[in-house]
Amino acid sequence: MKLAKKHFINREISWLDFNQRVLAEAADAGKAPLERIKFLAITGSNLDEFFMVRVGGLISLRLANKRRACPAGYTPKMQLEAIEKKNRDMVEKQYTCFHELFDKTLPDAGITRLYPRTLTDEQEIRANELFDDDVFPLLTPMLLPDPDAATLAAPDLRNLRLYVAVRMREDSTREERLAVIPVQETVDSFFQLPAEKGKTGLLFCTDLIQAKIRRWFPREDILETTCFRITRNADFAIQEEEAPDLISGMEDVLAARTSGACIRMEINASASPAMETLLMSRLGNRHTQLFRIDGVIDLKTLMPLAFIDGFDHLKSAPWAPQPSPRVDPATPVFDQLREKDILLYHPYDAYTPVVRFVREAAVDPNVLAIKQVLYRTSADSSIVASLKEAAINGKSVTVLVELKARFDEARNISWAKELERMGVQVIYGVRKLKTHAKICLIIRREPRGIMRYMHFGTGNYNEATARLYGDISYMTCRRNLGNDASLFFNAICGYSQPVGMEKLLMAPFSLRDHLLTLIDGETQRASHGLKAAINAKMNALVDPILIAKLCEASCAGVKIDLNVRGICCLKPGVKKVSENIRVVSIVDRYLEHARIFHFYRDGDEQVFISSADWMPRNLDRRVELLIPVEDPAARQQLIDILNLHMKDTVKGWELTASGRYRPPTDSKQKKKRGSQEQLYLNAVKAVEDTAKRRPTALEPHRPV
Amino acid sequence: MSSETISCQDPSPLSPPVIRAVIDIGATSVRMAVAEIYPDKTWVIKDRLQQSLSLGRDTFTGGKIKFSTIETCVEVLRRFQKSLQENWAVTSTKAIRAVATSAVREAENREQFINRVKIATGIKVDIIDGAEVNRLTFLAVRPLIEKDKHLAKDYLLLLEVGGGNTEVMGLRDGQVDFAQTHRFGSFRVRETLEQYQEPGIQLEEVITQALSGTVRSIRECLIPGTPVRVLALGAEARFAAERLCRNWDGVSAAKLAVPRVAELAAKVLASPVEELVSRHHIALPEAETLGPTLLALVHLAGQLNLSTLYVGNQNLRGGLLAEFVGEEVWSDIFISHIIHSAKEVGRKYHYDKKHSKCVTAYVTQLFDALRQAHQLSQKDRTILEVAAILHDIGTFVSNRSHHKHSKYLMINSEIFGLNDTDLSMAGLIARYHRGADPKPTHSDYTRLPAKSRLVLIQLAAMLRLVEALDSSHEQRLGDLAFSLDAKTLVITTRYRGSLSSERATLETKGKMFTTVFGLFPSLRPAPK
Repeated sequence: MKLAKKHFINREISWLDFNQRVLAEAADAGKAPLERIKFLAITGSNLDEFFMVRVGGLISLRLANKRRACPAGYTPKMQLEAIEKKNRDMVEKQYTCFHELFDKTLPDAGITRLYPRTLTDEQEIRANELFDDDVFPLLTPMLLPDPDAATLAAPDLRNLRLYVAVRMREDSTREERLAVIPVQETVDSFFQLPAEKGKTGLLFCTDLIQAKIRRWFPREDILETTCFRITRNADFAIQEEEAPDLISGMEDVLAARTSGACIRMEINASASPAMETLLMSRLGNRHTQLFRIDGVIDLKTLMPLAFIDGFDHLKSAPWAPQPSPRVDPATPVFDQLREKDILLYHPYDAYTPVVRFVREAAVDPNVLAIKQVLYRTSADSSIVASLKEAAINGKSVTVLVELKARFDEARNISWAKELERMGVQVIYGVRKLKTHAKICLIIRREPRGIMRYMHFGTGNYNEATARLYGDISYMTCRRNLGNDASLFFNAICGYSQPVGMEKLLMAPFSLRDHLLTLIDGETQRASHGLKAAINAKMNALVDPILIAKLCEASCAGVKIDLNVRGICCLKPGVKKVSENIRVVSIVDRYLEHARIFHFYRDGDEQVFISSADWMPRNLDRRVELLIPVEDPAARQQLIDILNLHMKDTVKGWELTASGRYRPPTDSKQKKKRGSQEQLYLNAVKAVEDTAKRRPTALEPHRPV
Repeated sequence: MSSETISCQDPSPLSPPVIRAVIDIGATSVRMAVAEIYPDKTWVIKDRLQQSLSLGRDTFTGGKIKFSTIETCVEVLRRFQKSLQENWAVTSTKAIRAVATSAVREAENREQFINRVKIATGIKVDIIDGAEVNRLTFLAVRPLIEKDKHLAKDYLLLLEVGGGNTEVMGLRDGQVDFAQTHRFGSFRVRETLEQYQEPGIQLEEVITQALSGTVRSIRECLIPGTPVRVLALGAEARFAAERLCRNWDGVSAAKLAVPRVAELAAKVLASPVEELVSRHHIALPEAETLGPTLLALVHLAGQLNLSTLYVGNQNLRGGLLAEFVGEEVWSDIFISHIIHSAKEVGRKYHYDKKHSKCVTAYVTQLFDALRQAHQLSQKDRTILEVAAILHDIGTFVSNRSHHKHSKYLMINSEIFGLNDTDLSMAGLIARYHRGADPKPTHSDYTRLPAKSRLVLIQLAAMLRLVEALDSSHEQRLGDLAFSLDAKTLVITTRYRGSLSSERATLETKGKMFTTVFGLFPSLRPAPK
């Protein structure tokens, strides 16, 4: 089916809409204030990345004179214009929200923003101590010379780092100069100062620096100070063909990212036109977008505020991850997997079984090998610790570390090297492709031969994000999946070319075709008058081929429910194009991250989990997996999850035929629950029910 | 035999399976299959690895394998070993059987290749010939044709167009009739095409010309009027099946319409190889052979007036595994295919079927009666049987020295299941069924290793002896019984007529037997 431009939504605009939905959470007056701070910080960090990569990418395209339009008909130039307009609107809303929070909501709740001039004596003393101990010694000003008259080389200003700019006149020469003080990330962005009982005062570090600027420049005439930050174009991909090896190539990318052109400059709204001109002429270029910020620059620095001690009444009630009753804490995971498959939905179900899976393997004398793909993981990850331990225990441990995971490159290089030192065989990704699949394979010698145990996931092996992202874990020892898992690792380790697999589908080879076949199948069934339905959950739907297929299916009468958290380029509900398609986006406490696809197939239902979104980059330029979940109980669990999310009227935004999102209809209704809350309550109830079923006999601990 | 189970429960009994890896070094790729072999002799392939490698391109265009290709092959094998070690804790090369086919066999520097691989990896690569390929392929295909009776009904041709050679096997009602190896392959075709250096020359013409001999000899073997089916094997045929037969399970035979295969071949040939690589996710050497091979299959199907082609997923590795399991190799069924195929050769040379049958029966009886004395294997027995069936085919050429004609006809025939060494052994047995005893001046004989010479004289002595028992070609003696009595081989017959003529022949023809076994033959009428 050929779709017209008007049936697509531009992906950048769709992404900005997503960030608006996150912002709506921050603006929600019914929400706990510190929870709102968290969402505000997230919108800030999201927008930073969007600028570096997407805006950066579009500017690179313009500079290269590429004019090809997106499926929605926008050329790079048109997209940049549309983005800028939406962005300015978003920044305005962000700071409206910022002021609402800092000028009203937080003070009412006992958290007050303080300014150096209005401190009490007690606060002043504390502020001075903090400045002398934790700020002044750490910060070093640099001169930012006039490029035309410069005898000094201009310092390289870091991407996304906050700076305090100082305009001053030198005492002796009366010459005007511009200096900048980099605010290192090691310095706290705000300090808590003493206040009445039950209250606290917040002093932002940048305010303190500006107030004490004379400490650095005692003899100069200070004309003006302001805060600013620049965003550099980070759209650099590694040139694998040219790099002598991946690590040094990667280091080049990291270096390029610190020197990319400045595409955004944020300065305080109070800065004078003279200051603005100076900074723009020394750092900007004709593509730099200037934002004057009325409030704290860099909203993501507010994140620690969401977690300050005390003030629990200002935070959302915690939803602690529950120990899944499907996993027995006392029986080894392998023994349990031989009995049944295990499916978990994090963070409602705790991540512990996944950590246990690797840890038990590391110390199990019968385990021969562990193979795992790590895309992003946490530095103190106990999974990584288990892998090291396994290597020390003499097991063959192979880890594919995706060095090309954007913005995590430096971190990944460092711990990958450490794994190597421990004797782990580390593979730095696959040439030209990013390995995004989430899989861990454990090979174990058993009396009946070699058994293979697998963990397949939709999220990264990262215990920190497993508490914040909604992701599926599927653990199994099914033979055919085990065979396929081996083939997969043989392929990515370079032992063999990719060979056909029985159950698993792999991008960039069979995954896209298989999805197309599955959608076609539903279309066929619908046109033969059979019930046909697709229910899919993903983070982003961008791929124009899949979108066209979905519309074709819709026209044939297939009922399609899509739960797309972020970008969605498909316009649903359009007569004779997509009228049978619904798109719902959930923005709530946890980041929706699971990819689950359900095809009705006239009752012979098939459900898959995947690491891949329906985007060209995932289907064509990444190593991804599509995993069929055939265990009936696990399959039903996934279908229930899909249905629950689709019915969310509290946190679910519905995309309309106009391309705009309709806010959730029941968001103000206290009685109704969002799908995430429901999932949490279900998990709690399942634990309680299991406890009730447990035998009432007491089990005394006896001396051994 | 090979079965996949969905459940996570292991179907096999408690004792642990054995891990075996088989490696096949072919013209376009090196492939390895890893299997678990259970105590009940069933096995399941658990791992498949492959790496494309242009051995065929080197050998069939330059005559030898390039040094860089050898080193790449070594690297591939090392990685296979690494995978074996990591995934299966297999470190010994004893668990690995590696074979190389025509691309190595026909390379001038095959010794260098084999030695380099052995030194670098410890893996001993066996070079196998066409007959062996056919035998292994048959072992792999057997479960399929046993299951799919319709497929095996009437006449089934197994066809694999490789990089260097094309293997053809004819099965009549599931029995092997003939097995042939033809020097036709996609690399040879490309080479021919390049030699013409003339853009006008069509690939189709080259293929038609190159295949004319193959077509003719297949037709000669077929029985006119019997319906024929073709089961195509090999990566290229599989490629076609995967594209044209969406729901193919990869276990049964895929059924393809020849015109569709022709369309696919045309499409493939029209695309630059680079495009094939990126569009179909195949390796470059495979992309190069894909078009010519598909076209050759279409051409052969056309020449045999077929509108349908079957494609099987079976391959050499399956055969190697079956052989690894052991019991399949010289099993009764397998032997019966060899015998059937030998008789087809006999038919071709107008053999005296009755005499042949009689001598064969006697000689196998004698072999069995002497087991204690000779300690020879079932394989030796089969070769003796083949020699007995064909010992007189030399009369097709001339009655004079027909035993010598028999020898070279046999050595140059293709009998399913027998490789070159086996065939020359059978030929020599036939050669010594009459005429001079083996002598140091007989170069064929002296060229044999000592061990084989010992086998040969025993088998030849047996054949020579029993041949005397039907020297009249009339099967007068009927059923015989052989038994040992001290220094005498007692042969008893129910025949009541005069035994003097046979006794006289036995006198002269039994000399070699007596020298070899120290036994004196004595022909006696059975007691009433």
